[in-house]
Amino acid sequence: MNLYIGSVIFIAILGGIVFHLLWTRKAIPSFSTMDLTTIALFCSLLYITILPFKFGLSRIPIIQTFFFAIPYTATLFIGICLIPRAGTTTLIICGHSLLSQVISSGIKPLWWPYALLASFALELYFIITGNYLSTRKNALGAGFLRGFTVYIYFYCFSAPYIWHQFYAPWYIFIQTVQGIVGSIIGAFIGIYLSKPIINAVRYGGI
Amino acid sequence: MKYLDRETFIHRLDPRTKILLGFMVAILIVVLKKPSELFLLFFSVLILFGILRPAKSTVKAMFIIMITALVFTMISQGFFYSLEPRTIIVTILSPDSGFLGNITGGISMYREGIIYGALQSLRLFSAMLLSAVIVMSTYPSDLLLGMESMGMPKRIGFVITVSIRFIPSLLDGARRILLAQRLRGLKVKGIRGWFRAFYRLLPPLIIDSLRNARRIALAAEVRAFTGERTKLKELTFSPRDWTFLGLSTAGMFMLILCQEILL
Repeated sequence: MNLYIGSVIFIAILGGIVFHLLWTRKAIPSFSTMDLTTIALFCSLLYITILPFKFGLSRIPIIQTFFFAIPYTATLFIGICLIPRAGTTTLIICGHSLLSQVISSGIKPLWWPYALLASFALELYFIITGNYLSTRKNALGAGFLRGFTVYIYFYCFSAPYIWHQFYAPWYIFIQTVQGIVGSIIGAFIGIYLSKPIINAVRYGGI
Repeated sequence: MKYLDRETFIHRLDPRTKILLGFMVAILIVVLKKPSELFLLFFSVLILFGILRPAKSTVKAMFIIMITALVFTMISQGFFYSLEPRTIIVTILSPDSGFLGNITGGISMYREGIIYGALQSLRLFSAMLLSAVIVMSTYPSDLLLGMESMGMPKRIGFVITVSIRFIPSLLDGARRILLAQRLRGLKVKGIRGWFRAFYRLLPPLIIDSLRNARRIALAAEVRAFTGERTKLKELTFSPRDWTFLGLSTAGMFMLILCQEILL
């Protein structure tokens, strides 16, 4: 229990560091209405693209994490490539989380730290590297970080302290590795698919 | 799960009351340890669900989801239970059965783990039922209004509202594009087919939706989204809300205190 509260405090500190870095670099983001509608589009896209995986492939025991991580990361990273700015990641991840809570799963404050951690870890990574998925190396790092933080947090903090469930270390390891591999594949698919979309936005008159 | 048009007292509660109730149940889910109190929490939420008078199909769907969750939790906890004492029912992999046995320390199903899993699924059921109560008794727009009046930034509210509006048009667009791709010979069956469909679907769907997004952004600007705006609907806390919140808070503290005293 104390460890869970500690993890929530850690997430708050992480958020504070992200805000402090943006403040000192005078890079507090401001989004236009068009940016916000694009972010809203990606929140809905995340909700829709993972639906077939949620009810289909992700029901396959043991390897569900791998199938779930790919479409989620790919869609998220296309959104980040389209609006490469601090704050986009947080708005898409938390927006998607709130959207699913508002329209289908009901308000669940227990999931908020999970969404915030996934957002802040990636935000911090992008701020430190100063690169928003413009290279494959950067996408590899971001995919790894997303998979690692999200699944370690779920199996080591959320599951035992919120839902009071046990998981064996080997199982946590397998799930985390799958999450990392799935997120990295998703990251590569995301940056590959974002290129024609960015070209369409730049030169296609959208 | 979707909004259920009924005239129950839960429907008449302010959205903020339901959000606060969500917080209280979240605290109880984390804090409660004793089976009797977990049962009490589950039955309290079940009563709220019953007050909504859901359709038979909804009850059936919820029952199937809960039974599935129960079975999966019992199986997983049966295998992963680590407290002592524990009684082995069946051994799948013995600890001395080579490399895999060494790494995993053996995989066995424990009787105490199955019972523990069944009890712990009450937490999941309470969360599921309360979610159903909130979604079935509140319009998404009212829920957003409630969250905005509790301090959620206006821009995030705008993002969620637009996201909700996007979902039907995205689903429609996805269906149209997939049909066109299948007519061109795309095979979507099997695991490879799923990923192929995802790969072929996403770029045209996003490009098409971005045009739509531009129109929505323009419409929002024209309607003074960035300027000073008045609200069409104002939320008010009635005595009903205060009474319900008071009773829920008292119930929450009583459950926590009972646990502390009896432990």
